Amino acid sequence: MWPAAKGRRRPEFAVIMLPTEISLRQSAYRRLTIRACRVVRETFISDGRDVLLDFSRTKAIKSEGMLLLYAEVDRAIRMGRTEQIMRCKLPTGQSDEAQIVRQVLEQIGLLHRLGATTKPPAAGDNDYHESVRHWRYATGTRVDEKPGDVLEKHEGRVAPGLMQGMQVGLTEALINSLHHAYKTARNDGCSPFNERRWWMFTHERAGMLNVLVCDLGIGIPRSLPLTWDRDLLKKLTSLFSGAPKHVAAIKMALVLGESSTGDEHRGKGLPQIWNATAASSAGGVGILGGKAYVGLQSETGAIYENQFSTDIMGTVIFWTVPVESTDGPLG
Amino acid sequence: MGHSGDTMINIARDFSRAPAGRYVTDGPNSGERFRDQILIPALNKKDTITLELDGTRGYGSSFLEEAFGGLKRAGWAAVDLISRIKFRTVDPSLVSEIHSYWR
Repeated sequence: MWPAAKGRRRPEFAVIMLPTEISLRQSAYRRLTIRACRVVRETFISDGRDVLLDFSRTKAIKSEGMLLLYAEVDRAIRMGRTEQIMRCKLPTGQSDEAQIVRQVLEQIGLLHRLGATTKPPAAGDNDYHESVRHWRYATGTRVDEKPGDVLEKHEGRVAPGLMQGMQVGLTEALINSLHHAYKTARNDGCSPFNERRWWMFTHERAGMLNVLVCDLGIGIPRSLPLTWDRDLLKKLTSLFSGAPKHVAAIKMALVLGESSTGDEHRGKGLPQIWNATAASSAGGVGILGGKAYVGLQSETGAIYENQFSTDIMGTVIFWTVPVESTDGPLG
Repeated sequence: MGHSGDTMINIARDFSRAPAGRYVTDGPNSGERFRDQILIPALNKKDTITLELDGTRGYGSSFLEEAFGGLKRAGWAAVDLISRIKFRTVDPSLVSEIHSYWR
């Protein structure tokens, strides 16, 4: 799978063990996933060492955790020296869990990104597990046709109003990332890297389309005071005084984007996604920023929030909407 | 400057089906590029412009604000813009939003 090391120096890998579950919403796994991201930065970027990502114990992969890890790995490779090597060790055996983890890492293109000679198979054109074969990955530094193209293949199967809300919300969310997330230093211990990049997964399963976008910026809690008027923020803080600080910041970002009273009408992406999803008959939306998670379940209108002890050092937004099955109209 | 007649601009056809972003640095189909390469030249040549808004993937506020709000910042008078730029769309909220940038 990996190209022969003929004529090249023998790599000396620092092994980074990935957790049994790669996840950001379950406290213990979140801590381990974020720790792995930090060690990737420290080892590959700061220390300049070759790295082996060891997935041999990984049994489950949650998309939001995988997107953050993928983004960190991709960014580390971009920041590292050309001759540096990052590889991965896959889980062995024929258990369903091991097979699915191997398939996911191939399907999303991570193995290819790490230099494997095999290319990810085309979605819908492989015999991978049903939960794996529709994962799609994209990354970019600008907002062109690409993000919308990823959604467009679902056009006609997502309710038109919802699709337009998602298209607009997606591009605005990416623009928000480009304008706000990289406004100042990330303070991640690495040397500055002047690239404003977003990462994205889409994934269709069981009649639901999942879209996830991620940036490795300063996070909503840090970007709000750099974007919005201080007096306005003070007033809003009193509205959310009962919530933990980072949860309150995400809730304020939703209100501020909606009201559009800030500098140059910025920041509408979050509420556009939130409202489009909330109006849907099924699905949900979630925002991970700093230490916080705020989510909404569309069917019930229930809002979930949590503040963890660990900071993802970026933002991950994900939402799920129903797609029409191939043999019937949208419900 | 002599203006003459009306021109019709279909954004999906004449610019992009995926207008997005504020500045040229955001992407190829930004509000800044639409304003500078399509809107302002048309305003300089024609009395009135009819803009067909439908047919795109939608419009984010960052695109609309930079394209249309940017005209006001560039020195065009709101009353002039309202009288010279007409819109065709099934979504009246888009026109309301654009007009809000000229107040």
